[in-house]
Amino acid sequence: MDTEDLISKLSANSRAAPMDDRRVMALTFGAVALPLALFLGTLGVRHGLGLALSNPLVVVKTVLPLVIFALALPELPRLTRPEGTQETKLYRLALPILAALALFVLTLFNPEALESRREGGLVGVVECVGLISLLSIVPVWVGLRLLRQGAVTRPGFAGALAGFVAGSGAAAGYSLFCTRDNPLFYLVWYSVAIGLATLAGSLLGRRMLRW
Amino acid sequence: MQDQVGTTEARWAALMRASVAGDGRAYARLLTEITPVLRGIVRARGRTFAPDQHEDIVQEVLLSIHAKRNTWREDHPIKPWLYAITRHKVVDAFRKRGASVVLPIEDFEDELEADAGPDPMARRDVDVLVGRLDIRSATIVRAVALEELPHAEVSARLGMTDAALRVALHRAMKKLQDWGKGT
Repeated sequence: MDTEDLISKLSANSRAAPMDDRRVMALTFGAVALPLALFLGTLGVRHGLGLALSNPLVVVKTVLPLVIFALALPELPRLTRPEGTQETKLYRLALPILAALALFVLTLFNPEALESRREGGLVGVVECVGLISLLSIVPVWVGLRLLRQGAVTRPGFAGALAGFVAGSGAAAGYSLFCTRDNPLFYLVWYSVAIGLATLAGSLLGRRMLRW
Repeated sequence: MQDQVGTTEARWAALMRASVAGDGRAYARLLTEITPVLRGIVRARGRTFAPDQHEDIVQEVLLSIHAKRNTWREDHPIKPWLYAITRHKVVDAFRKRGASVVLPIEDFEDELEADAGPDPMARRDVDVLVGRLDIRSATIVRAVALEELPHAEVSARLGMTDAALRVALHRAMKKLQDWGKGT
């Protein structure tokens, strides 16, 4: 076809609704919050949550993934713009991730924590990683669908970020249910769960986000 | 220069704003204005591709700009957006076509005919090699390269287009060269 013909064909249909960054964030947030609300609404938060929160290590268990989620979420709509990949500010995640690493290293010098690091056993690990992964499924899917409406130039990376946002949000919510307060447990296994969601997002993104 | 860049940016952004609001004429003007720029980019990046493929790639880029026009935000500059889409699609188009690098056969024409000159000492060897080709290719090689009949006459006789003849000839000559080196 002649290029001029193509242009006149395309211009017969020029109207479009520009994407809205706030809508992308709001829908992703909703996709994280809804399964969590169902989960916590059914099974409830842990017994004595209020009392447990007097222990700063329990507060950190919720605040760390929450801060990571809050910093990563605004990066998602950026990636729906083709030129947005260059503008991502993921370096801001360095602070909470370094804090998590520091806490991990410090806890290694705490004999009491070392002693009880296997308190959950295999069941605890499966419960933690499994539930966070389950809670991530809906937000990963919604995040990828939203990215698909955009023009993603790095499908693997964008999908990974959608998974990371979903996983960290799910982990923050799950922490209110979780009774294992040893940093050696939650730092490791929350990271594994978030990592799995990130990996899944990346693999799916590579398939779903081409155009 | 800086000034000019600024005005293009502002004009294209204004045209795009009008376009997504439903002004088809503004959209046609915008696409018409960016097409030569796209051609320039495609030509600069795609020297190894035949010129007729360049226009195909330009059209693929235009289609993508159209399909993704909802991803431009009015409060963002339009040129980086346009170039990001163009870059993505051009790289993609070249990757898709990457396996087959097209070289215009015209460049080889003189060389091929010179190589195939009827040297009496080599004639017998050539006959043996040509005999190993399929009948159609052998006919083409004998008629064009050995008897030096004009292309138009041979293609008319075989009922093929000139371009197809040249391609067939080139392939046959390539085979003969390979065999010649091998024996």
